[in-house]
Amino acid sequence: MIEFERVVKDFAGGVRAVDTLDLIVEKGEISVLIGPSGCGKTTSMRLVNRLIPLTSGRITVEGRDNREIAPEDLRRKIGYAIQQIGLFPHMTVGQNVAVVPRLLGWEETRVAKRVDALLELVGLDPDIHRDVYPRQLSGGQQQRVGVARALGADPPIMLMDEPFGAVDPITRAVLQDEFLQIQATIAKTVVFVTHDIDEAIKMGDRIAVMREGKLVQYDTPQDLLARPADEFVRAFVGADRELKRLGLVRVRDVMSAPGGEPPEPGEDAVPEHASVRDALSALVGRAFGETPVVDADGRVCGVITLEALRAALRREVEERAS
Amino acid sequence: MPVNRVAVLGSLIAGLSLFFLPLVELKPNRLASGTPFYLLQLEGDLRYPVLFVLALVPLVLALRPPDAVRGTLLAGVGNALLFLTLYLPAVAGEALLLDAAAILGEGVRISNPRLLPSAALALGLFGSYTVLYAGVRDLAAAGVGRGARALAAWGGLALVLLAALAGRFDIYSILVEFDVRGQQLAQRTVEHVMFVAVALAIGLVLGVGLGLWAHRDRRVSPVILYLVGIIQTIPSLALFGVLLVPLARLGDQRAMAVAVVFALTLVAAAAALALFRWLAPRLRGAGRQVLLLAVALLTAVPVALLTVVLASYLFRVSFIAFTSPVATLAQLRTLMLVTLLAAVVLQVLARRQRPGVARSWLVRATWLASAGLVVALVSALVLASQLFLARVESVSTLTVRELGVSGIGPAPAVIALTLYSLLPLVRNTYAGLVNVDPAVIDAGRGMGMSAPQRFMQIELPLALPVIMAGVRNASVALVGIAAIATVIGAGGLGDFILGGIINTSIDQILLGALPAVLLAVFLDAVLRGGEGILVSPGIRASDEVAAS
Ligand SMILES: Nc1ncnc2c1ncn2[C@@H]1O[C@H](COP(=O)(O)OP(=O)(O)O)[C@@H](O)[C@H]1O
Ligand SMILES: [Mg+2]
Repeated sequence: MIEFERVVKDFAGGVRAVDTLDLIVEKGEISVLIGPSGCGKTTSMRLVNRLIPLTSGRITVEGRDNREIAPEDLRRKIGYAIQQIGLFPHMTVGQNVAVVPRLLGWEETRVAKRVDALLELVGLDPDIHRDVYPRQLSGGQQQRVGVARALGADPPIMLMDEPFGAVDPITRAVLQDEFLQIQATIAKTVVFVTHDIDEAIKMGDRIAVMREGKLVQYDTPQDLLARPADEFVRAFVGADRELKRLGLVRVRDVMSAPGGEPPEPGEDAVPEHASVRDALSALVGRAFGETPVVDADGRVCGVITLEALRAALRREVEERAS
Repeated sequence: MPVNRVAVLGSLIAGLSLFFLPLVELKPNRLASGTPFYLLQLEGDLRYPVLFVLALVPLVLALRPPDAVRGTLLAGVGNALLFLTLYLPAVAGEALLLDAAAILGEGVRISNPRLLPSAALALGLFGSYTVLYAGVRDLAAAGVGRGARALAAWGGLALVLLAALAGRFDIYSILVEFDVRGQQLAQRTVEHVMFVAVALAIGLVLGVGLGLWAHRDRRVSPVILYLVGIIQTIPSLALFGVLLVPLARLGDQRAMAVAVVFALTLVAAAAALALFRWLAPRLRGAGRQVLLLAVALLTAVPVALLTVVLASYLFRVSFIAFTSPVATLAQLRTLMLVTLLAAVVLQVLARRQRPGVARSWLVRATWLASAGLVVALVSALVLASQLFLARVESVSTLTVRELGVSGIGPAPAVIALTLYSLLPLVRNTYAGLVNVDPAVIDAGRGMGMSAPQRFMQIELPLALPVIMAGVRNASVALVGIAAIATVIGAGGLGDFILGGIINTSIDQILLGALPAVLLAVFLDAVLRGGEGILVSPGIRASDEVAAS
């Protein structure tokens, strides 16, 4: 757990980059910091591992004031991944991933095992990629190595500053999915900085919207979309926020069993784990007729209709009201 | 079909110069001017015209399709040309020398007649090498293996060396000169190497240190870069002259007194620097400039003192360490050579290994050999120090001169050379460090590397290619500048060059100049090799990343 208590950061020249920030990042959750450029996201994140000293207030990491811990020790226990990746170009991929374990003085055999396990975890074949240099990798592969390196010594906490910012949208989506899958098993406490609201909704257990150094709203993605705190947040999440909300509901949860003859799975069948937003798109394609839902093996396991969607949304509204 | 234009060029150079220019000159003695002889004018058998025809053969070969065959033929002709251009004139020269009296006519004083290589020989060699190069390029393009290419590239030269060792070229005047002054040449070469090595060693410490400081402190970086920039603008001859008086005076001083001055100026410089850093943001324009200059001058004094004493002392001691016939020193020299070779071989082997147990052992062995090298070097220097200081009676009466500082001789030479080495070293260290990607350093910080760890594991390895380029620049420049040191009686290869100019003896000039050129080329190659070993394949300029 990470706790910001009335944290202030003033830079020389009178810029107040972080203004009385109160924020709790729960254990095992991803908290996304989002806001327009220059609003203090990166600064807030860098205060956690003391890359920047804070001006006033207090940050506790796993219950301890981070100023009680020597900066190097603190940082070795906190994974760190940045947009520019910053892989060490003169080290092989394996050496990059091994940096923190080696700093911690692990035995070489343990380091070697850890490196291979991490490369596999992020979807790289150790035998192919361990001994090549970063410049021989594609952008997406470099980002993967960046994440593997941040996970190096299995830190309980991760700081990620736009970690998938430097790749094309398709690769980014793949990397996001993979990280969510990894997170499902490793359950790190993650501070995730982005300026992309879609990424925030997809990755965040909670989203902290910042503006000019201040925290404007801190909520789950559902609540943020359903109840923006003010005009700023409303504008920030976008006019299509209702559609974005549909993106958070799985088809599996609103579909109904196929009545009578199951329809043929056509081109616009939707997978059951797809979002309702995607289902809506398919519904539009079928002129709002019944749309088949398929499971992982491609078999029809249900149908989705406009009525079912409506009912689901109505339930949402009622829950919100209560 | 692509014509091999390089081969055409080489062939034309060799052919035309062999036809139109004199090949050798016959000199009745060392000083008199010679009588020129052309290749086709030489009496005797058909060999001489054949050399001329051979020089033109690449013109035809160049028209062949570009493949391994063309490469082989061109390389073969190039090597043959190379060898024959040196060998045939030597053969002809023997006849000329025998007949010298008849050829040169009456009234010429003949003593020690000699054969001076002339324009056609030099250009012929140049043309041969161009043809050879064209052939090797063809071979490379055709994908011929390394071994075969090396044979093609160096075969002729090896032949030439063998012939030289067998005494076939003894007739050439430079070798005559070498015969007379061989002993001296060895001595002067060692001196020359020692100038460069000591100046580089000290320059490296100072230069990298200053470059590092400039990088760490944005406020002093202009001072440092300005200062080393100024040094470079002083003509070397003037610098030697300027050093003469102050060094002579310094030599008279007691060492203890100088040490006190050193300490005091160091403190003053530190104080001035602190003042400047505090005042700099508050000052502008002229005030800033003046203060900057004051700080620069104050800093320069202790740095200069230290450099002067250290450089002079180190030169004397190294010279003893590397030339003294004392048995222990000779053994240590052998040890240095062996450990150096071992370290290089082991490191190259380690680089080729895939990571694993074998590699980690090779790396460890490399470290061991390097440690051995350092220990041997330090022991040799310590032992040489003892020999050097044996005359000293007590520290209180010790003068700076007894530490090797003097107005003329090697001391000012080494100091001037050290100063000249600073600009490339400081500038490249600074540039190398400044250009390290900030994201990479931030990543290192974020992962919990301490400042020294960041420096050793990230900044230094990443700046190394640029620093090494500075070292290469400096060393090649120093080999040249060191030749001028002869005017202050420092020795070195410049002795032959200056002597040759005074005697108008080209042979003597060449005897100094050729080794200097070879030394520069050799140093450059060695340092490039060192770069290949020290710089990670991940950041090497070329794209040939170790195919692993
Ligand atoms: N080292 C610094 N010195 C001075 N001002 C800074 C520094 N770093 C950031 N700032 C300022 O602090 C504010 C917040 O910056 P940052 O945290 O990087 O924003 P974000 O990551 O949200 O884009 C900006 O106004 C920026 O100009
Ligand atoms: Mg940022």
